[in-house]
Amino acid sequence: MNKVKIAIFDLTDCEGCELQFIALREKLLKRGNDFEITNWRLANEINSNGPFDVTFIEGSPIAETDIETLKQARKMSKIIITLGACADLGGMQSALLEKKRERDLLEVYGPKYKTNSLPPKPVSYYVDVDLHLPGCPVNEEELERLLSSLFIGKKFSPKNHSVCLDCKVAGNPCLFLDEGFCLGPVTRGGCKAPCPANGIRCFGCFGPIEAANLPALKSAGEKHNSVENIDNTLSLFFSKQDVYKEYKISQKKGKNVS
Amino acid sequence: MSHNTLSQFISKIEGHGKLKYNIAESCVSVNIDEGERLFERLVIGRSYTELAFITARICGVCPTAHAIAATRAIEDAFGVDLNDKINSLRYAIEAGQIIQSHALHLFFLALPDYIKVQNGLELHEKDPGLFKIASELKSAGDEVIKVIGGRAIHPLTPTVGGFTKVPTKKEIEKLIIKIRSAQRLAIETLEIFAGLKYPHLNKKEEYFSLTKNGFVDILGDKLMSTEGVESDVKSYQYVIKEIVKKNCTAKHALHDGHGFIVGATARVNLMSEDDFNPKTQKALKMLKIKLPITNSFKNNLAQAIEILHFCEEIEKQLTSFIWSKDERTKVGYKIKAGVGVGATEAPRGTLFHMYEFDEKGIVINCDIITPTVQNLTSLEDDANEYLKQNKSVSIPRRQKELEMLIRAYDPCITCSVH
Repeated sequence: MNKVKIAIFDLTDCEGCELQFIALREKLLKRGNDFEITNWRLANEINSNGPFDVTFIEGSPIAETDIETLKQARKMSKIIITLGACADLGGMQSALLEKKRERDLLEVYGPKYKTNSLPPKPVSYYVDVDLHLPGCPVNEEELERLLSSLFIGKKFSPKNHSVCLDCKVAGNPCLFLDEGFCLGPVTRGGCKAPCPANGIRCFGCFGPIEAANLPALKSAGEKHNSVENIDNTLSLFFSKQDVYKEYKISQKKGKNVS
Repeated sequence: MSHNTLSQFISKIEGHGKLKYNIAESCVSVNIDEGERLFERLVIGRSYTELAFITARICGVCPTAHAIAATRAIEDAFGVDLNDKINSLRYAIEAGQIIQSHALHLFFLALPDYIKVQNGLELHEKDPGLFKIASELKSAGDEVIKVIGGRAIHPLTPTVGGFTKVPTKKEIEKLIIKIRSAQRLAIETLEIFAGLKYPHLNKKEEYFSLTKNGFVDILGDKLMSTEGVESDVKSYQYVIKEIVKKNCTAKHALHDGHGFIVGATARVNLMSEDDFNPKTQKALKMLKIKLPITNSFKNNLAQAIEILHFCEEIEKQLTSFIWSKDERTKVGYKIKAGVGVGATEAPRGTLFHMYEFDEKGIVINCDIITPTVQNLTSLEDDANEYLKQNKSVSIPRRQKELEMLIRAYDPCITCSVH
């Protein structure tokens, strides 16, 4: 059997997700007959230009070179998998308003600075994506589950229950009840709820679950939180998602009515 | 002869850079290819409670350092005093971050050049014993962050006033055993890196680190340099100035108009022999390691020294955490309007976070200076100097060694563009 040829490309991001491959090291080495990583800038000296059977894309396309890399990767790969929230959702950097990007660049870099980059987007804005592995960072066990599925040719899909279920299974106290707000009810699970387990409310890094009801979350959260704070937290990982855009439109309409 | 820009990204460094050089004129620069994420703007209008979570994501290799620098800046603004117990645990997790990052860099990014393997996988095939040391040492660093911080990447528990959750006494005791056995691996690692043949480079630099009461301290409150600079962390903007270069998404920092170095070499160079922990002192003597280090290729050696030193330090800090009389692991505070500066020694050097808050704790201003931004000027100066000092070395070898020099700096281009 031919080894599965894997490529790992990182665009603009923190590189935390690809480190999860290194965290798996012995487990990966055991599967050494199943695959080879033929392009990985972070770990390999010599890198192939393809073709690849499976390509992982980490990071959000921002720099010109990011977008070139991405398009080239799509051409050379059978399957494209987004690795983590930056590639999957645009990352928290995409929470900044695009129409204010010029001003933000001016504030940080000053008036003489010229940029060659574009506002951060999810990878799916530029190319077709076959599979999404969510998370900031991706969960080590989910990555392992994905890789095993690939090697044995089984279908992989991310979990479609909310973080609340993960919390219940782990026996965590409910932070929505305790602190008055948490994104658990509207966020895709599979992370095993490490944030609530450590006393931090869910920030939504796995992205919205199907049929997430953001207006309902807002009205429940509003009792103890300002709408600005709720909106701020929601925007971090959801800003480029349709469900969030619809929520923002409904907010505006609501304001106009009142 | 025209400038030659290599089309491939420099491999085995954090982030995207391309090497541009003209060997005949001894002129090198690193082109940064990383998009602006604008974290300093992203935090504006947000509550102080989100800062540790958000800024940790600047870097997947040193998220703990960002979370702690942000937290310390908030505590500075609000006037929060921590007890020794909290400080010990914070020290331990930050030291764990240094071990985790150094181990990753030394074995998987830097060492392959010296022992002529291509990557970690080949290292495993050709020298399984060495791979085992690498793997176990990395996992010891991971474990410290996992046990204290809740997970190995993007830790969760560090918060304003202390920790949201702390490990049990039993978990700490288990961690002490793990870190104690890692000390043996750290000694072997130091032997390996003391025995490597480093390319020739000799250049006097100014080295900076955080200090406390005159000693290098990863949670210090003063900035100190080998040329006698001493300054309060709060005045960092007077000591370290960032400049914007044309077409470069990473800023470059200067002190008094010139480059300087932060990170492992800087910290080691600012320490005297007695400042190292006992096993490290002994190993330095046995291996006849001479300090200070003036060859930037030997930043690898400095990192290996630090791995051992911090393995010992973590054992000390965790022990004092267990025995500390004040049981509180989180102290109370009041939100206040004002400016706060927080710094920590990240694996690659001093990391500064500054925030200004309104009376509700909402961020109205932010500045972050990362270690790699501070090292970029020296990195290019050192690369030019390397070419001048090594004219007899063949051109392909010089090109290879230039990459090795850049790798030795362990730049985090990801952090440098935030």
